[in-house]
Amino acid sequence: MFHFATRLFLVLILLSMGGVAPAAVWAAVNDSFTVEVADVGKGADLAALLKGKGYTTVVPAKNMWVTDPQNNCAVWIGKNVPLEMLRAVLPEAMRFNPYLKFFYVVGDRGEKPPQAVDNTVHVGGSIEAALVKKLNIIDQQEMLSALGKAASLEDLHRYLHDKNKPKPEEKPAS
Amino acid sequence: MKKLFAALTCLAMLLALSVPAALAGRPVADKTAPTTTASPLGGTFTSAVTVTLSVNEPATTYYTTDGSTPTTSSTVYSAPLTFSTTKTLKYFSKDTAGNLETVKSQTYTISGSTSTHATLTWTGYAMCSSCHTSQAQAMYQGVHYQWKGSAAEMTTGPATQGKIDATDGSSALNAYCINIQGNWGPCGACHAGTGAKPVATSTPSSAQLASIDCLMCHADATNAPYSRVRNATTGLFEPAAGLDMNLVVQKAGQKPTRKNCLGCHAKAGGGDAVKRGDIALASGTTSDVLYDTHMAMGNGGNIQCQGCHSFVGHRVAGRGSDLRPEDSTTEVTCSTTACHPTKGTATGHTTTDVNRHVTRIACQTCHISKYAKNANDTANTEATETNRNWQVAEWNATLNRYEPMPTKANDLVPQYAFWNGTSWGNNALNAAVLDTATNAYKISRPVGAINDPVGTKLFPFKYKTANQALANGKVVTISTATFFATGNYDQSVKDGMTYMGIPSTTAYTNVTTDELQVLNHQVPPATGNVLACASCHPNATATQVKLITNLGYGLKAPTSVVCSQCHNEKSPRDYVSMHNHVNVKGYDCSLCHNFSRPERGLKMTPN
Repeated sequence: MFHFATRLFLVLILLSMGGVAPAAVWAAVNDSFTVEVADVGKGADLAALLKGKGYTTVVPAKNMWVTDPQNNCAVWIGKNVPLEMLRAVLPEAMRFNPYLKFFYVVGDRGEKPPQAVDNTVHVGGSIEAALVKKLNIIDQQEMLSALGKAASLEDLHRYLHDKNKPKPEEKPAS
Repeated sequence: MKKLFAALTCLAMLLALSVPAALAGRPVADKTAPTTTASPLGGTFTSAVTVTLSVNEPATTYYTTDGSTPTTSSTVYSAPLTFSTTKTLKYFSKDTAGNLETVKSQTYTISGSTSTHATLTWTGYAMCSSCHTSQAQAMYQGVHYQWKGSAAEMTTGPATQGKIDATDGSSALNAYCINIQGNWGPCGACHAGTGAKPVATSTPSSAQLASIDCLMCHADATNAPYSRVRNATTGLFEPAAGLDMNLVVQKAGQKPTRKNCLGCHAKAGGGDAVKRGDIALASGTTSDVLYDTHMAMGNGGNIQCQGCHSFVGHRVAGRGSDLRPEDSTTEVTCSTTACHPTKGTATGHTTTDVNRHVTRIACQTCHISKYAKNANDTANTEATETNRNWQVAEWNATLNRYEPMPTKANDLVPQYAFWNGTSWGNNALNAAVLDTATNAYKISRPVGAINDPVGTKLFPFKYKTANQALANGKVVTISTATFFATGNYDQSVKDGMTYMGIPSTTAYTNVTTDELQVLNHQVPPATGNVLACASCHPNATATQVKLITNLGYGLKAPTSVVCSQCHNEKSPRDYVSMHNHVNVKGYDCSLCHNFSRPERGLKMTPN
């Protein structure tokens, strides 16, 4: 009886260590990266959900460019944000804001943002910025597919770089 | 003895019990003012509205509908009031104890063309100008659409000036984004058009008229709110998804409300209250009369923007001192028959001393003692920007770009200057001018001086600075596009110089620029808030402005010279005594100072 109890205890300890160790590692990884969610539509719900999944999540204070899900339809992806994190965050972001249509890796065109931006994925960037950068619309299903297919983070960055290549100028009616 | 004691005790107890009872029976003095409620409250109505006034106790209610403040001589309310045209209802009640309620105000805006609009179906922006063609043509030529216009009130630059980028000296600089060049997109988010840059033509085509977004100003922001988004492909605006655009256009037959105007004007400069200092989103929502007694709801005047900024033919009255174009030659004034008809006259105020000021001191000077106030019922702080430093970049996560570092503040004391209604401005490619008084390069200034003729008055201004670059004697129209993308100030300056035709290898220096912007809003109730004499007089102890130190009110010569015009030199006495020379003896200011006040009919020579 004693031996059985000891064995059971040791088995439980080993099982729990096996579960805890990766979780601790994953939490440490998550702590290095941040999800910023614009305070529009169901942004607060998205932030709560992601926080519940262990991601460091921030809802920045509103400014005049944070208005509604349609105008805040861009995702700014920090260049160091891991692929696995993007695979977890972006589908939820699209579920909460079906208008997300611009996905851009910050620095893709030579920008040098503050270091913290490289480790941040910002959900709900302004369409005004997307248009100034002449980004292209990426269909959500296509984006989800690319996320699934990407063999590496570099692979995903390459895909987004190609998709966002500026198209020839279209002159608006005056 | 015991019986006597018992009897006395009983009597005392009876007295003790009966006194409170007797006191309770006495009437308590009523010192509470009655409360009158209007139903419905003011707002925009598509047809005639019937308004009922009710009081919470027996009282007599007095009211006016012509904008004047009601008194006990005004009309007594006896039955519901029906308004078929826009009216401002002001009312108060007096109860039977004589308690007076503070005057309340509600504005009932009756939109005119409802009958036609009621059956409309949204077909696109062109539908507005297809019916309202003459209005669209008028709007097309106005400053709200062209973002430039007559510079008749500018003492510098060409006849037409404004915000639109140009290299002909007509494009305004400011101490915020410096110049619009290269930044039409985000700036254009506040343009009353559908996204395309305005084309200046006296004969706009129907397609050009259709590029006016009438809904920005005419949508019913309360009952059928309109919002727009950029089409991600064309960059042009279109109605936001999910809107009932039929309802929006059906309700759109109204004049602009504060929500419409403040949607852009409160956010000028990049955020709430950033630019103007006296205008914020709170101006349209607050009930804090100390913030703005004119615009506040509740016990405030609830005055709409158009109450002062009248429109004729889509041209608006009123121009900020730092704005280059004027849309209308009509001036905004406090002394209208509906508002303060006598306050601009020589007997309009209660004291002679104050009445003497009105020909030379603008109402705002005494009635706006501080600006960038924090309304007590809003989440925002309403802080305004006082400096913008382009040499320090901050990251804006929403716009995924760098922005210059701002400094903001609340409760600022205005700067004061004489203003004759015209302005001096430094535009893109103009030679920069150093103001030795501020040691900064001037971006805009009110024109006027202490010795100007009647018409020039002392006004309060917001003072704003920026850290910018100067090359070849000109303020550099920094490339905001480069700065936003990279945060690289040096490269942004070089790209700006290239735009200006200056070789990018040219050495530049970093300088401070500054501008003054007239303050007209955020007037609190006069009682307890208007500046007192001691705020400005005498110079040594003045708390608001030093008239001698800063505004040219000093003596024109030493007392040995000034006094000996009439008598031997004397030691200067206190401020009031010294001014008996004017107020009692009737000598003009010019005998002692470098300015004259001929309108007062004073003696111009010593005798």
